[in-house]
Amino acid sequence: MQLDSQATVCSVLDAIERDFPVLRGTIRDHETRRRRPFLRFFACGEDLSHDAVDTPLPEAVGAGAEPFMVIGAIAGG
Amino acid sequence: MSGIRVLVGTRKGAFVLSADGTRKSWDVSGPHFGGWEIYHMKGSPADPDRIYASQSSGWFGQVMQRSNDGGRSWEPVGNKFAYEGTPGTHQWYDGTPHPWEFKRVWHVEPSLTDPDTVFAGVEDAAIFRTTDGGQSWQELPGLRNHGTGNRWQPGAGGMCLHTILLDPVNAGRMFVAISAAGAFRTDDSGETWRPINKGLQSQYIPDPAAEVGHCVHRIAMHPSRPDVLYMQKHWDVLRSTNGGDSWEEVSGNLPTDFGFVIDVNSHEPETIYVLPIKSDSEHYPPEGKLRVYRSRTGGNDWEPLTNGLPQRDCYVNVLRDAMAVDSLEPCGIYFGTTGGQVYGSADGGDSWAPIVRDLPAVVSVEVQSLP
Repeated sequence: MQLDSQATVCSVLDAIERDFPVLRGTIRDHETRRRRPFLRFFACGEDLSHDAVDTPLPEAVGAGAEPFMVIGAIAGG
Repeated sequence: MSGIRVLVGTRKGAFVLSADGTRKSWDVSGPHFGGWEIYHMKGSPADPDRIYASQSSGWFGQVMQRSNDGGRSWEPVGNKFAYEGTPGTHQWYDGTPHPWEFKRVWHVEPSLTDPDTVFAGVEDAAIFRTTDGGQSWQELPGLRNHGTGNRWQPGAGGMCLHTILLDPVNAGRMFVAISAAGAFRTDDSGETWRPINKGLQSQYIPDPAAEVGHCVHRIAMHPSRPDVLYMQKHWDVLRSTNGGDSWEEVSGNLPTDFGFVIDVNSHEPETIYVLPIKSDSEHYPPEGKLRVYRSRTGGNDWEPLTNGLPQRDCYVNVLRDAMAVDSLEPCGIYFGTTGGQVYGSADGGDSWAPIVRDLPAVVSVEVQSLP
């Protein structure tokens, strides 16, 4: 995925929503831009869900060597 | 009529049940959107192949789906439901102010004439409209802002706008119902609204005859007589003969006047159907007997319909959007249960048979009578 700026949670999600508009509102709220509560963000074995969204992601993610993962919580009935 | 299509929304996906006009042999398609809650699906009266579906989950929130081929394939459309202006507050369960927050779409109501125009009833209660086939949605804010919104309160299922009735005779007139606020009417295509709850009595709220605050579960109308409305309230079945200006109770000899669904026979405007449920905490049929009750007199005088329905050990519920009628002769009636059964009657309710028995819990049932 091509990013417009440095790899951060925000820039990755911006790129996802740019390329796949149907995902708008499903990962983060349309208006508040907050992560939906039953989703978490992981990369390089680290839970990044509570980091500021403009924090740079690990270099390996920006280089395309490691994935940035949006994970649904194990929950529900 | 060449066929019938029953659209079933469940807790874990959508199902499409199809039959020819005899309504004897059914094909079951699905699950579509497996694992997702499908609160409602409904087809356009102007183009039966155009169907809209509300798809949601706790993980990914709201998605709206559209089919242009009668439910064989689907495409996601717009899912942004933003309240107009500053949303303000309604009452929380404890009576304190609580901000309006969009949660999900409960009901989709396609226009009677334009396949691209659809109304959506949402939680927290508001009505939205699309005129571009679901790509974008705009609130009709006159409902939420007409003056009583700060007194609306959620029912046990949330503060949802669950019923939208489009008047086929009086242009611009619509009715909606909200739990727990009541029924409302517009006469100018949704610009302005007013509560229509005169005659409702709800003993569970501080003022039983309040202008708003009533937990209306469902309202129904026969298209040939749009001034006559029927209501299943949290308790009480009611009827209005003046477009909701006033209501009178018609519970009559029902075993319990609690329930969720109410509908009208497509050929007999005075013949109505309810499904009594034991409440407040049980929410299953009285005596373990699944009985639809029919009145041929617009209420008050009711008869149980039991032929083909389980008459022992039945403890399912039938939710508010889970009954519908077709337009064949005689009228077909369909309802779905929280136990996953969809029952149908092809003779106005005289006899019933399960179409499917083991779906996920059924949330909604709609019917299309295909040309």
